[in-house]
Amino acid sequence: MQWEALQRVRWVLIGVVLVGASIPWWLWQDPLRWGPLPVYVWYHIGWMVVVTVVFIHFARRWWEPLGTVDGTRGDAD
Amino acid sequence: MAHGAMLTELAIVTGYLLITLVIGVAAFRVTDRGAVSYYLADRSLGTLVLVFTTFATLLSAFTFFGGPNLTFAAGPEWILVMGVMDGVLFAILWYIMGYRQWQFGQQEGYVTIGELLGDQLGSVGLRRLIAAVSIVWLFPYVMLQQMGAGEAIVGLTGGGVPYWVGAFGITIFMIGYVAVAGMRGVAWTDTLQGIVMLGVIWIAVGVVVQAAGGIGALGTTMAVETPEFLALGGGVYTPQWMIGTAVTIAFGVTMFPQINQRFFVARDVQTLKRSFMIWPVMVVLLFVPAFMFGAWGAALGVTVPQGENVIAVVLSAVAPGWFVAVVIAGALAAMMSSSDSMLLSGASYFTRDLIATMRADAFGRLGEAWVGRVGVMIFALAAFGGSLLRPGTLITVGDTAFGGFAQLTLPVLIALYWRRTSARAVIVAVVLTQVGYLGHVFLDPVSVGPMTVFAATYLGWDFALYGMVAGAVLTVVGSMLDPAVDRPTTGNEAFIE
Repeated sequence: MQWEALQRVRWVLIGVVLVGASIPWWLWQDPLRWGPLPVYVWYHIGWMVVVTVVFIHFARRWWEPLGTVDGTRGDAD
Repeated sequence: MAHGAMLTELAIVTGYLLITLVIGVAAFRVTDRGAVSYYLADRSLGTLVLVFTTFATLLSAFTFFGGPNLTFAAGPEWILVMGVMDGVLFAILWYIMGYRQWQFGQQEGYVTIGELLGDQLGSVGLRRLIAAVSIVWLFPYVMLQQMGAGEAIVGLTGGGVPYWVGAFGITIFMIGYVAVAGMRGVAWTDTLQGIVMLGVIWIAVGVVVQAAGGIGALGTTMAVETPEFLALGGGVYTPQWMIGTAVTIAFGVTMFPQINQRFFVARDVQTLKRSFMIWPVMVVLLFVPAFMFGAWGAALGVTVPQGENVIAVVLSAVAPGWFVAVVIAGALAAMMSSSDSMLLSGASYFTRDLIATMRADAFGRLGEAWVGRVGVMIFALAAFGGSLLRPGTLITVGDTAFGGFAQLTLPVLIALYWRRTSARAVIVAVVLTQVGYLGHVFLDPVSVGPMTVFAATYLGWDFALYGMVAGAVLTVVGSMLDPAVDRPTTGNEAFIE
């Protein structure tokens, strides 16, 4: 139970980082371009790849342990 | 517009509608006559269909046309806003809210969120309230689609078909379609439309890149013609606006009936997981080309007349007429696919959460799915009546529907997780935040001493965000003050005590 609560906190923090860094605030008002797109659009594409990788890991390993209502299906994988 | 081009466009639109009708009839043949089959496709949708039906529903023509219009005028930062909104926040809510709702639906057979909350918190009043508020915000949205479709047909025929005939024809088609097809048919055509939309937008980008003289030339042109697009922020894009818009829309759409009901329809956990992983990928595949299209159009110096669509105008400048017709037909179909889903979900809220809770024998010998079909008809015709009035403030009402739904989300989320949640507290929170929100939408700002009440923003942040926080606080504090909470449980320990 204690361990589960710890994992929840860890994943909330990861979620906050994934959301917060979706917009590259440190590039604010920086007129950068690479090829046909502004750099912040390239950043967006790269960040969505990162988000997808984290989501895949979460869905494989943590989906049921942290979110299953019943508790009986939590050990499915 | 040349006569030949008009006939081509009409033929393409008609052909597209006929294809969707065939799909609807096919779906009808494998649908049995019960309500779960009609509203939820027997909780049997697989990943591909679930992803595309949710995505196509999420993207009404408003997104498809409105997004490029915005990036044309203000720069491509909208990609970031929609990215965090649909690719990250919505995906996280898909897990936090959607997976939870799906499990309750599997265990208890719920069809609507009102039904779930009413049963879990033991309050029919709450069930009716959630359904009623949802229907109120849904109504202008259906109206908007009918107005859009009516106007598109006027445009398509150069005024040959009058507005009301177009809007009425679309309404009748939608009623017939939803009545026949149910969720399965809607989901299948959404899948077709989603794939068409993706294909069309990438071809359109290819056409523009070619017309500009290649990728490299396009980049140089943008740097020369619209250098302000290269720097993040500026103009409408303030941090407060970007965050506020992403948060209110992401939380709002989870309570849109047509989105929320999709939380119940997944076949199994694998389907939910795969959909969750695909959101960020879908966002990149669809939004980056669609919204860059608008920004590139501005860089290429295309002039867009007031009130016209950037996608249509830019394409007309660089692509053959028949291709423009395909894009417009696709957009019309997207508009209708969103309306289909809205009508179906609205009807289920109306029949199950309002009508059925008032009279035990409400459905008589007709059966619920057939009463639902009558509900679709009444709802669509009422919305058609509204669309004939063409009230000018409708766009405002439509836009603010996101915020109206967002007011519901946090109290509902708390109720889904916290065992102590009191139905009365949720009712108070929902009523007060809705009244406060409506006040901000419809009343002019008033100065009270040093403060301004009913302002659009406070300290730069959208009033809808303050309403969301207030709803959460009211729910928690109200529940702690309510002594008589003895929550019936589904025999699990997952609730937070």
